Amino acid sequence: MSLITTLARMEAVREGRARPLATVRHRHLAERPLVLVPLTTAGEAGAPLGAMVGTERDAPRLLVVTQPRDRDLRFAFLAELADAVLPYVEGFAGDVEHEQRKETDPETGKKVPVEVELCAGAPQLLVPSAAGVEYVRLLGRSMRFRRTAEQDPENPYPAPPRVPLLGRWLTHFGERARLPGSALLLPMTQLLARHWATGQSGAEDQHLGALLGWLAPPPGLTGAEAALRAEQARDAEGLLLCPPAGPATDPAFDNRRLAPATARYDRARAEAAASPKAPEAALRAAEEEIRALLESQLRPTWDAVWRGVDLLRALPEGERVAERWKRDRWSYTSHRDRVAAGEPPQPRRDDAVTAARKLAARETAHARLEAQEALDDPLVMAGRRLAGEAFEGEVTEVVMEYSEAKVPRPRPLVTVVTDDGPLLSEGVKVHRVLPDGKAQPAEFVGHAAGGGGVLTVRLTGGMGRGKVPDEGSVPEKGDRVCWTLFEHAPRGGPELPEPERTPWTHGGPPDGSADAPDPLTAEDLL
Amino acid sequence: MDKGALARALGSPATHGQSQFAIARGNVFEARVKADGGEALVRLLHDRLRDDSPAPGPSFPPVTPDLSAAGPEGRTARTALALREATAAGRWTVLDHPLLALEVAGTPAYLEPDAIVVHPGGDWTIVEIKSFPMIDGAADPGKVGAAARQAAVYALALEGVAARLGGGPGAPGSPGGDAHQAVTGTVPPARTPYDGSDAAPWSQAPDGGRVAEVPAVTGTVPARTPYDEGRAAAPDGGHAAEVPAVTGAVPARTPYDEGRAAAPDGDHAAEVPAVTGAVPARTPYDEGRAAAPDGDHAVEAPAVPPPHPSGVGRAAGAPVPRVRDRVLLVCPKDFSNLPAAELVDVRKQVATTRRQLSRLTRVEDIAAALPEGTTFDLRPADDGRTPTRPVAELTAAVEAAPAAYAPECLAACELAFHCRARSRAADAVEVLGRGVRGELGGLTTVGAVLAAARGEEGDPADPAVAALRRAAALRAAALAATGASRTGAPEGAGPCR
Repeated sequence: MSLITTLARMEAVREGRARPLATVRHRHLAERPLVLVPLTTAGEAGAPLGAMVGTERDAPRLLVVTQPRDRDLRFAFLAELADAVLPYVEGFAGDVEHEQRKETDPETGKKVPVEVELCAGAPQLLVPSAAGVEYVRLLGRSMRFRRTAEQDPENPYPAPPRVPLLGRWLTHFGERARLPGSALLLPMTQLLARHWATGQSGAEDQHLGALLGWLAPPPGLTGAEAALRAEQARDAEGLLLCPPAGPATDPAFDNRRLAPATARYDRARAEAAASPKAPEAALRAAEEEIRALLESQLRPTWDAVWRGVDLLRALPEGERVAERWKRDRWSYTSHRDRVAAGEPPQPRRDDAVTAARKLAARETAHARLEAQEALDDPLVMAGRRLAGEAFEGEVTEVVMEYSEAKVPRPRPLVTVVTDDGPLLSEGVKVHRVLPDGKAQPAEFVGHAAGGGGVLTVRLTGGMGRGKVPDEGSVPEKGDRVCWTLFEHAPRGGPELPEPERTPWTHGGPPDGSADAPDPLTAEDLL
Repeated sequence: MDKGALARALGSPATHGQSQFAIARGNVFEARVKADGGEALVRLLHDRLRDDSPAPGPSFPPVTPDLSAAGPEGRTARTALALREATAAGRWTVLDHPLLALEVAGTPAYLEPDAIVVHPGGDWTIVEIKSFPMIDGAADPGKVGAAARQAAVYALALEGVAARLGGGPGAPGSPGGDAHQAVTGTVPPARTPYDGSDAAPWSQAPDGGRVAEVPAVTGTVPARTPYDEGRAAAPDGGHAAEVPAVTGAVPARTPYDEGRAAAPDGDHAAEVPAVTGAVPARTPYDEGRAAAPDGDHAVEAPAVPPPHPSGVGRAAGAPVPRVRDRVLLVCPKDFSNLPAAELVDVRKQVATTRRQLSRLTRVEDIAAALPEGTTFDLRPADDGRTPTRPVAELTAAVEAAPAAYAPECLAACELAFHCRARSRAADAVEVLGRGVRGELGGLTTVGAVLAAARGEEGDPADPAVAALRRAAALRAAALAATGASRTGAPEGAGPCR
């Protein structure tokens, strides 16, 4: 936690409510996001208990597994989930734009422009917390290797038709969520904590109810009181007034309400199975009871996620957010193409080549995100200035100089006065944003003799092709300018070779064989 | 000492709990792993070891000795005996839920690993059975780390047993048992064999975890508190009342202990210190209630060589059994109920734990620093649960014991919410996280930090103060420029109902 963030948290402690950490919204927020609030059975790896899902805050779809240890009921739940999620996900596939991209021609080996499709929009999944993101990954993993009756007629426990496909999509969302700055799958706690500082620690910010307590305390309560209420307040039965955001349920709820209800359901089901003539009313009632119980746990979280959406919508979107969202659209488009091409599901474990690529991509995305957030938001830039990674000041002098090449280029010397203490040494590259949005490079020349925050940089580019710099590309006396020591569009390391050309020492080409489905166990123990 | 009850009485109940679904699942899984006489478990270990040890099988089945005994010290002693026999037996032996003793802050704590496997070669491997899944060969690193730290504590305790068996000086001795040690021994035996994937590393110990977390608390709970007595009475049949009387007369109680406790060097009270507390002379253990195993016990016990007066060279010539530094972690494989196992190297965790244990303030020292008569007695009403002691009095008692709150406590300690409230009331900066202090120099309260940032207090020459002022100025300027100083949120209806 940087000092400036610590200070914001302390302000929040003193004021009793959250304080801003950003002046713009740093993540894309879709017009119509799909909110998914999953619940899982305690102690089981892949046994969902229920979920609330939908794009309309007033009309959530409640999905329930009345007995999570029953494979058929679980499959029915997953089929319903596929029914709720896939139409939304696939709804963005048809509306495409055309983009030019350079690709290597396999015959000539030259880069040639190719026209490719790019989906105009992409789905966005919102889950309550980081644990929800992990659960989406887990659900994806549990489903994508399933085989439907059509794929494998011999399979004694075929999965419902669209379940493996949902598994592949959820895996894609889960994998994408690991890329810094991506917005296909976002946890609400992380979104809110990025934009506001509360008066509690980062670990406590993982509790969505507590976080919202700090952000929007009810009248008469401070943020700390509202957060405490969200964490601890229980009703007469000992159940939390604010159920945890999941996917894990409150143990007290499990023990006092859910377990007896499940037992009643099991009994009713056994009776219904024993005598076909038995009235099904008891079974229905037991089902309804579990539905109502799970709704009582899911609905508060559902509402909380939407309240978070409201808070975020009040912030204007950062300038460079759209550029990152476009990368998400590329990601969505390419996975759409992989599914359409009939490629096998994502492997269980990435081969060495893929893993290296992913790692490089995440590092680049991280550096890019850091730079873009600072450029979009003066409050973030303030943190970088405090850390000595940027400086802002007023131009006091511009001296025109030229390079000593055959065709001399303008290399003006700009002197600025700044209060910041950038960590500079001679020749260090600095960057600033030009009015047209491009970055202009410069290098640090030295501190002025008088010291006291007066320093000189030499512009080294971004001034056009002529002998005279383009209009507006050289700052004038009296301008306020902000230079950064970090690049504005970091590109990461050198490109990795194609998988086929990767030597065996570095993992070599992937073997290409698809993973087999998970072995089935006859006993239904997951 | 029930810290959960204390936290409830203080008005800051803990939110820890275990779902019965998780408990059931954990128990089923553990039973499944240990089914068929431990053969499956040994096979998992053997597959992972890939050494030249003989494979278990119908012709070479593992031995599973009965470890039942009365009271924690009885079980500890039985475990040590079983380990000694198994080490010499040259066969695979599975010790199911053995009990180990480890000294924490001068007080014995009991630890119950899921299992210990003794190799035919005489080495010992600790087995941890967890119910979090290992998916595609990888489990949640946070949970694996917690399991490794937990296993490291077992390894330390087991090394003590090994040193004693082998005659080395490794016994975690303390100079003689005293009242406090004896008293702590009266806690009931292990609560539940299940230890939930998210359990704190210490929580499996009957009381060790509590001792380790807030030593002050446990140390100041003398047997005189009715609350504690009520609990202690349960496991060993109402002997709690006798406890204070018993403590003075440690030696020569159980047949097993006879030879050892009579040792002139006197440090056996420390080795199996709980003897003093929960197995007084007239325990059922002695009276032959648990006939079969105890019969054995009594016969075999004298075989433990009586310790040499000097305390070294016991059982001369016997090699110290080796505690393997890789523990076997058994988890459900993928989404199934089938076990998957992996060996986890815990050397680092063992070193860390050893260092931390050696640095813990001794319970007696903490207790000595408390005002005379400090007690955390809740004075339960006749129902045995409702506390009648005034909250203010109780709070003052808890305040007397020093505590260093950090947000990490919330995941581990029942009293964390109470400590957090006190920490917030004291305006301490640590409520925001342990790392916060690093940048703030000598400023320890939120008020001081904000005053320094505003320029009202603090020495501008202090780098921390200067950085704070700079940060405050930059932050204010950025917020003013965009007019975003408000949270932007309307007055809310609160997070939930």
